[in-house]
Amino acid sequence: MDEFDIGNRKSHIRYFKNILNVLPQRYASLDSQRLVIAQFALGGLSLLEAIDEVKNKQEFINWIYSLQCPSGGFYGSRIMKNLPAHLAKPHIASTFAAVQCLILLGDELDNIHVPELLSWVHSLMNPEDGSFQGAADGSEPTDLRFTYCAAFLTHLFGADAKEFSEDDIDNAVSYIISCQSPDTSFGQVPGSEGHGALTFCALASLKFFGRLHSEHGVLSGRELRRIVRFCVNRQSEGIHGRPHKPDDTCYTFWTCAALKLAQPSIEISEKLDKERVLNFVRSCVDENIGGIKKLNAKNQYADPTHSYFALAGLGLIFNDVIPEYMLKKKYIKRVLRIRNKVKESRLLESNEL
Amino acid sequence: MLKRHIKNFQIWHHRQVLCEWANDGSREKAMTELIFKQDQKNYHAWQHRQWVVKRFGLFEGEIDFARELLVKDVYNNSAWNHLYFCIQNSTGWSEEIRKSELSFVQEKLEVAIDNECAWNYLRAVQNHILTANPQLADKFVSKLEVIEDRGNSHKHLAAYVADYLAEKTERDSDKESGTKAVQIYTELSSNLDPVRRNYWNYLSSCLSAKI
Repeated sequence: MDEFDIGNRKSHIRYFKNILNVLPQRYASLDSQRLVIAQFALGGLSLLEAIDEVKNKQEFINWIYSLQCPSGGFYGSRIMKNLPAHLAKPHIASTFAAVQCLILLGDELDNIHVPELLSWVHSLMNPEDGSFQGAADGSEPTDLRFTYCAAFLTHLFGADAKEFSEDDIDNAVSYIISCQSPDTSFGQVPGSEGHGALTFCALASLKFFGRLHSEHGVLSGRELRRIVRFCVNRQSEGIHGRPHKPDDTCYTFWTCAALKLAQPSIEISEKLDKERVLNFVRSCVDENIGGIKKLNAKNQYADPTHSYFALAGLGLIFNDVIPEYMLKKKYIKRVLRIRNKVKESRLLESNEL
Repeated sequence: MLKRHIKNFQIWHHRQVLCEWANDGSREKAMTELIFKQDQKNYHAWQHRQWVVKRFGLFEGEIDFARELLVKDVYNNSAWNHLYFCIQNSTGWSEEIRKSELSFVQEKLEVAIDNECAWNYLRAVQNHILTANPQLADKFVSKLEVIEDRGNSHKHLAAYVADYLAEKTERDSDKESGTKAVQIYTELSSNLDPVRRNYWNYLSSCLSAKI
């Protein structure tokens, strides 16, 4: 792994630790998504090799598990959990965030209600077109980001053919393909403009479903080369998400991860100018409070999303992050071990039955 | 509320649900245009407009709307995407429509040769098979030569020509095209597009290995 240094390491660590304690008032609207914010903060600390700065890991783990819904999935926050029964719904993005946080905190995922979780994920799929909702209340449109969360969860927890059949996979994959835009990148829903983040979600989902670069791969060599070209064209100095849009630090992860997934045999640094990306991210560091801003402008503050994804992107470019898992390499061994452990224990259970 | 929170996913979806319940999308186009005044490329507003147009069959005037936006800002990728979406879902891609869109995009390339959106649109109209229309490709090849003589070229044009020649090389085992493509990739790497020099070098060496 190559090293990267954007300076102010201690202030970024302080920034993420503060996020874990209290959010500034301007983030009040994100209260329902505390788990997602926690993922960004813990993820940021892990990327800075500072996860051990979190001294009360077990307290966090307990808090996360307190947000688990007995019938599967995780609520975004205590407020979401305590809503009246007909409104309180776990959310797939919160569930993804919960699992990521638990992995980062060193938990073995033993207390996840796996069959309930997988059945709940399946229930979020629209059988008509293979898309996924975020929650059972239908409060948001379906979205490729939710497909990505579903793909990650069904892969990690080893959904079997009864829980997520080949037909289900084909259906989900057909939806992903229907989101491909004319320039070969992927949009949020069919017909939408393609961009870097959703292209990542599409390719990572295909990877988890076993439909990328495999015997059953659904994208041709030509299409993948076009996707590589789209991603490579997203660098001005830093990286952006759509043609003729300004650079934005969070796309350091999204677009570069899509690039890596589209062509895994070639290093990202063989395609992009990594020093320019690094310099752009450096220019977006918030000198006052630590963390990273969306872009290099005086009236911008650092925010958890851009702070996390900028670091994740640099980690990826400097060869230490596995794109589809959004995790540093050092966590993958444990993730795969957990995956095998879950598979074995479920096999044992079903044999006993 | 929407104007204060134009990037909130739930509010836009809420609006869609209300349109469904009322079975009425007649006010939505005007509403998205209010948002476009603040932010021409607002992703949610465009998605909402596409949803309304498809759901209520309101394609009339949409192609012209997209084209007008491209007069104001030829680099508006959302407008290019909307143009493609409208044709795809209304007239469809007949031979005649493809020809007229090829003329349209060539016109726009005359205005701004550095417009990635237009180059992407051109490739999309050609189904990304550049060798399917050799006349068009030859036209660009000669354009490249003219610009090169003036000592001035552009990366997107050069990339298009190089890709066409590379495709021709593979299809026809045409060494001459291959050599020319490698030259252009090298020019892209060293001169026209140095940000992506590693990428152009990679393409150049892949192609060299095949010739």
